[in-house]
Amino acid sequence: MNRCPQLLLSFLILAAGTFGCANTNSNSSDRARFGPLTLDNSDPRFAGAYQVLSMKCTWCHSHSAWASYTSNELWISSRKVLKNDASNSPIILQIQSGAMPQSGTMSNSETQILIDWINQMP
Amino acid sequence: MKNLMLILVLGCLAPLKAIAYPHFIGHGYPSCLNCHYNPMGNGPLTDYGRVVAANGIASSWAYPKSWSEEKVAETAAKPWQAIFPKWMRAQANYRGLYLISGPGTATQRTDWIHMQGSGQLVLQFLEDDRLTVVGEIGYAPPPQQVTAGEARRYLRSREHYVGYRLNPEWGVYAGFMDQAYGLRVVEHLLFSRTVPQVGQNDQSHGVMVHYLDDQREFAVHALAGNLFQDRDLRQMGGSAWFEHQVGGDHRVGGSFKHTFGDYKKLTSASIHTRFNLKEGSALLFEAGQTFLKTDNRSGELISRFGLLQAYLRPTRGFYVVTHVEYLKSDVSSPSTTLRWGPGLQFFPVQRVQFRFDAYNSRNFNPEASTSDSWVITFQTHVWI
Repeated sequence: MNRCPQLLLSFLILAAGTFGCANTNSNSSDRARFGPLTLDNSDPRFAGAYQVLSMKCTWCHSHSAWASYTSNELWISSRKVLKNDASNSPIILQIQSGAMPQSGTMSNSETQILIDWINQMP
Repeated sequence: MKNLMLILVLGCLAPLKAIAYPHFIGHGYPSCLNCHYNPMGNGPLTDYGRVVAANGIASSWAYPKSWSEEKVAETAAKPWQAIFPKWMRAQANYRGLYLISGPGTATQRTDWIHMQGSGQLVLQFLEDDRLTVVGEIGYAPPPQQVTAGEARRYLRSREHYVGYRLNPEWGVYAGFMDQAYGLRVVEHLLFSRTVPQVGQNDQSHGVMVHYLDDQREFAVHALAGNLFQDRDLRQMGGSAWFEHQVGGDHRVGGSFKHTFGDYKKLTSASIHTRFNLKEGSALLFEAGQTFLKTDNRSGELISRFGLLQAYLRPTRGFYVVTHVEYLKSDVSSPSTTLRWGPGLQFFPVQRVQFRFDAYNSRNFNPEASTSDSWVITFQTHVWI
């Protein structure tokens, strides 16, 4: 039996699969989460807020870009945070509704750190 | 609190009292290799698997009453046998998910997510189709937000590999595949899949050795990481998975994985059981612990997870699903999460599945209180 069609198709299957390999998975944000970190220090409250976010949020949102948001501007452009408007910021609404974080809890003091950070963004 | 405990207790007991159905071990098929080319499940069905889906899984109400099971079986695989040569099989899949997050709350959110739209091709070589080449490619949603500077990719392959069965017992598989670990339930967001990082996008390049006989099954998987990621992100290492048949129809097993990259080391171990409750019903249990060591975190983060899941089959094609999950995301923290949910799974005809699930989550923490959260999902799955 002529094996040429099978071999050619095999090559195409593996080539197509290889070409289509996704580069995003649970490890995608490891560099941002666990690698050397350079935070924007123009806002004195940001480092504290980032620590809360990194412990309570980016842990599960590991596929997302949250860990790479190392400045106020990046959080604002993500639309998860509305500058100086914590009460309408999606991230605060999710926390206060109890919807997030799903694996663990956010203490009142941790929530307040985020609220103060958003409301007093320079 | 009392209400929650009552719900949890009833949730745990209900599957045990009913004439149930959980997973295909409940149909007498303990190994994924019975119906899939991939010995760890997932991916295209074999011809035999198509017949099982038609005769054992899906409802028969759509067929004329005069049709025998043999005639139904003929509609499952024969059309493909007529279209494709013996050495080739193809399959197409679509999965759509309607998601309601926080129903009835101010933050309610609804989404229709096209989870999968893919084509799969299988080529079979040599005597008894010992050598197989399997590939899958198609649409899959990228993460909602990608890291800054990273391109969104909608075209994805979740598996492509070459498999060779040396004999009915031993097989070797090389390529891009799911990691051999744990109970391979379909819900990729369950804690038993997210914590040990064996979710829907956590495939790895590597080589897997698989063994199967009447009493035991195991797989050892050498992992090179996802070679399409930057080198510093790849998680290399290995995983191992085994099951042993007990009591004639049930299985007990365990898994272990250890992976490492430039930024973290992850070690996870779990035990699991699969009980065949007969008539298509089954009860699944898994419990495990994961150790995560990272560069910028002192010590290790130790997490524990548990899953109890039941599939009850009151009638052919219809399954009542119950699951209870436990998560201790940090054993040094007082916080514990429980997630519970009922579900319905319906195969009205072969190649079509509808599914409904509700997930209720509650955190228990003496330092803070939160209200319950709900997520409701409706899923459609069509394959040809």
